[in-house]
Amino acid sequence: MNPAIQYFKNIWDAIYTVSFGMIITLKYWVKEPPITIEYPDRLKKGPLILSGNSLEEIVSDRFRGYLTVDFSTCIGCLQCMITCPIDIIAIETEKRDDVRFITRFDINQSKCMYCGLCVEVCPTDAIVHSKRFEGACYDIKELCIRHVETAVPVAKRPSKGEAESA
Amino acid sequence: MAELVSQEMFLNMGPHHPSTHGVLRLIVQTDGEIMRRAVPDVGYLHRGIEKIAERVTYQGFMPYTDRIDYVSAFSGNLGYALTVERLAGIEVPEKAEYLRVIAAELARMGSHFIGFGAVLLDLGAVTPFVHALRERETYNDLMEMLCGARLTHNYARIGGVSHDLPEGFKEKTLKFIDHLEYEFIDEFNNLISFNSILVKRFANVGVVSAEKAIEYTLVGPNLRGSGVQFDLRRDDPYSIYDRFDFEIPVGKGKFGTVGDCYDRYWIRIQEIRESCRIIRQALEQMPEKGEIRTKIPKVFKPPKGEIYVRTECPRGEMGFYLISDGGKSPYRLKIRTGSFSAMSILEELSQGVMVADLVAIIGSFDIVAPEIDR
Repeated sequence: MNPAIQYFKNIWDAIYTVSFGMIITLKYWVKEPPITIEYPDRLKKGPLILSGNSLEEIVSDRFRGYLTVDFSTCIGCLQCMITCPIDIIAIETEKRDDVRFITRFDINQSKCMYCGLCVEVCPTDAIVHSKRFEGACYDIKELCIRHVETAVPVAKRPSKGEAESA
Repeated sequence: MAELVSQEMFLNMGPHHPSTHGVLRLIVQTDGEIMRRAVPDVGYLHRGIEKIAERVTYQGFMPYTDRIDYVSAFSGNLGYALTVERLAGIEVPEKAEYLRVIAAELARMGSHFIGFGAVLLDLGAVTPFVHALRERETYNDLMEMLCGARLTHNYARIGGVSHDLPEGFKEKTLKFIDHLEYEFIDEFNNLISFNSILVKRFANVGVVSAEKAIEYTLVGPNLRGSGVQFDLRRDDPYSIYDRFDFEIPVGKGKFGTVGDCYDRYWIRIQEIRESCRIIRQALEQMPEKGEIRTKIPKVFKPPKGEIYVRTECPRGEMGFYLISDGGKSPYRLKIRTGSFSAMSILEELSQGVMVADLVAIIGSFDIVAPEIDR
């Protein structure tokens, strides 16, 4: 083919095929509602595409966020501490007058990889993932969360029947 | 007048280069705009995952397999879980097998969105990347519903999976794959795949013949792009892949030679269609009720022995070679990944191409840097 004709044919080809893409882009520009919104705006009330108003509502039910511990059910079995692959949970217990106390329950959230293995092994569902995921702070030490301030007595171990039903 | 002196120039592409898909360094020897050689220098993302495996328990290593290939985290989960299960002879419940297949195929699609989206971004087309990422977002939402995490799923467990299907997951997934099959892929092809500028950038660039692909042990879509019909899901079925009916797309030289960049790109787009087919069949065949996890002891010690299990990941074959000495943690775990073998061919492929084409070649192999180094 004549190089001059080829040259103009190439230009025509490019314009022709790009126009297909441009029609789609135009369609999205004019017709489709915007999909992205700036992140904190999601939390305010107002014109929202995603209906959530609070942090808890924008994540799904099984979301793995910050770990929380419920001391009314924690039996101090140390299973979560043993299971954690990166050793971010530190628990210390002390026995005094036949009652075991949890004197330390630290979770280093800055290291946590949110794998959920500790939640799975917990026999009483005391340690669970909350839906909190915003963890920005000025000092990394703030992320090592001490869940026990003063010693807490351990909860009673559930009897076998209860544990199986739960 | 003295003759002008010209010499070849060494340049570093990376480690921090946006189009190397992570931390990958290429030592590039150029003669003007023509490239003489590009030698990949891997190892910048080495995290010692294989060594970590020797220190943690068998169950405790599962979250680390997310991080081998973080773009499709579930594929690593599945490969590792299958390896330990085969070594210890653990049966997986029927429903868990289906859930695994669904999650694995979703992961494959999610990975391919990034795969072909990012290569287009490297070539300067920003819009298609955003379109692909929009679909990836839906995939992330689905996985969040299923297991609670958006990137590092940690969904598989030794002997099953961690969660059952949540309410509304099936409907949402069906809607998603309908949208992909009937709307997204055609629209995306019109948007960019048939664009003649893209075709000119991709066709006849970085041609890998079938013989050479086998010589360099390319795997997965990169191998199929060269026209070799080989897919572990069909040829060495693991899990329950033998129950599904799907095709294996191979490169046919759509706009140029067989095995060029366009073929590798085109394979990935077609694989999304096949993944949709598999998910549809799996959702239909899946039993409504059933166990999702075989109970294994908390202190899990598989018998002595060694095993090699390979699975078909979005980036090709991922193999786990596990040696057990009967203890709580593996004696040795070797992981073989698809991106690593794609690196080996780069040096030969880059000889004599333009510098701009190197970006297309790297992108078309769909490498993920953490997978190269582990």
